Amino acid sequence: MSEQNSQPNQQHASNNKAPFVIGATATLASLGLLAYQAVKPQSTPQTETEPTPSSVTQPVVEPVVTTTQTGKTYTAVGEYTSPAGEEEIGVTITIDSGIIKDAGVEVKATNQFSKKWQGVFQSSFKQLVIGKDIATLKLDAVSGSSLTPKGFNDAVEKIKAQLPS
Amino acid sequence: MMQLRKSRHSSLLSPSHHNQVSTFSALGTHWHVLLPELTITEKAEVIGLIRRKLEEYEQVYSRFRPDSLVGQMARQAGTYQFPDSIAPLWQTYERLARITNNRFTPFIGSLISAVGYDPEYSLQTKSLKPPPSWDSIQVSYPTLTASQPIELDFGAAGKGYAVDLLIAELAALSVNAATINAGGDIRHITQTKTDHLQVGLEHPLNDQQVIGTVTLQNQSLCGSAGNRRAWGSFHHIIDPLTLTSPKRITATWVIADTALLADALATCLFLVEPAQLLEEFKFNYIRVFADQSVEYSPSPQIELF
Repeated sequence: MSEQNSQPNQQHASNNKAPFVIGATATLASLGLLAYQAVKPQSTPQTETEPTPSSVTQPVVEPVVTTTQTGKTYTAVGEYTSPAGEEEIGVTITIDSGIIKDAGVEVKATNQFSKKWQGVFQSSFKQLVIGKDIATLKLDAVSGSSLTPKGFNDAVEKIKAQLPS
Repeated sequence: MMQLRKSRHSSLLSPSHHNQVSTFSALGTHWHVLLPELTITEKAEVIGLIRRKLEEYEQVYSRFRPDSLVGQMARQAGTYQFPDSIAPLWQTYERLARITNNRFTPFIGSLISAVGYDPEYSLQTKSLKPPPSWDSIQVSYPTLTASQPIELDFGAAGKGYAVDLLIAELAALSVNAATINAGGDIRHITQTKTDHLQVGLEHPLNDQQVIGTVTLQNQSLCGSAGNRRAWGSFHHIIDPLTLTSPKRITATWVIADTALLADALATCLFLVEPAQLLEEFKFNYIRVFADQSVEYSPSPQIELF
């Protein structure tokens, strides 16, 4: 396939992939999201079958397959567990004649809980806390850590006093 | 036992009542107690009782008193007779240690001291070792038997538990309307439907601001933050599995029915994911991360700005 390619119908996440392409293959491999081996070129058209998963430890979501003029584009969302919780990553691969022509990775907004937990509990999330002055509000109490143990504060002051100036 | 008559005026809580708040120091922090239905004389009696009870509590549970039961156990193996109050406290620690895989543990005392938060506040870090195992203590309530000197630390839930014990004391005196605020760990009781508290959540980086409010009625709200008691790379919470202080979260709050639970879970949220705790306990929470993002229960009682 020629490299210059101006097919307007190409359906892959070109607008998302630019910073990620180089790392995409390594990322995909490490996440076990590449659920199939490279397919040998065949003269007959491929049937539309889903790639069979190799042995992966994480659940593999069935990819969405789209046929384009340049080949098949597979888009899948992978889920994996990190110490921070469930993470999602979107992967798009375009294959033509058994060769990966394009690959892209879309990092999803991190949310702490995957969909399967929604039945158990839910959480809300804000990207940034906003502070308001206590003096402007009618509050009965404030909960926080400002009331530090006196002994601790004294100790910190003593240590500070000993530090070379 | 002291007999109290309720005053004829049953007043609703409102910000204008701040002048009725009694304040004092105990358990290493500042306490604010609101007793809206009592006369001045009755208040004085009750506050006196509260302070005596807290003094007794510290004589048992404080890691910072060499002559407390906990202080003695830190120096010498043996059998120690605790008050009956030890049972719910110890059982809560056992349960949370199991759920958190021992990240939350009363045996953290030696570790906290070794990193510098010792009874003398030396703030000097000595060599760190994992805490002793649960086998080191045999329990036969209310006695605990230590097979070796053990430094126990109840700091993660001890203040909350003290608040609950005081609320029980008040109930025994037929005082059914109160707010106890122990350095930001709050419990509210009322029998009036319209009586609730608006509690601000202190901004972890700016104590002149709040990041939101919690509406509290007949519940407890406890907070935990690493920013105030911090030195070097440590703050007051040590993760015994990594021997470091968790960095990613800067503040947590928990709303629960008891202060013991709210206090303990606020610490646990530094150590494990909420999902593990929500499987076993009923509570709402707020967690602020180092990047100032915040995750919280989708409850109408929590409003973040």
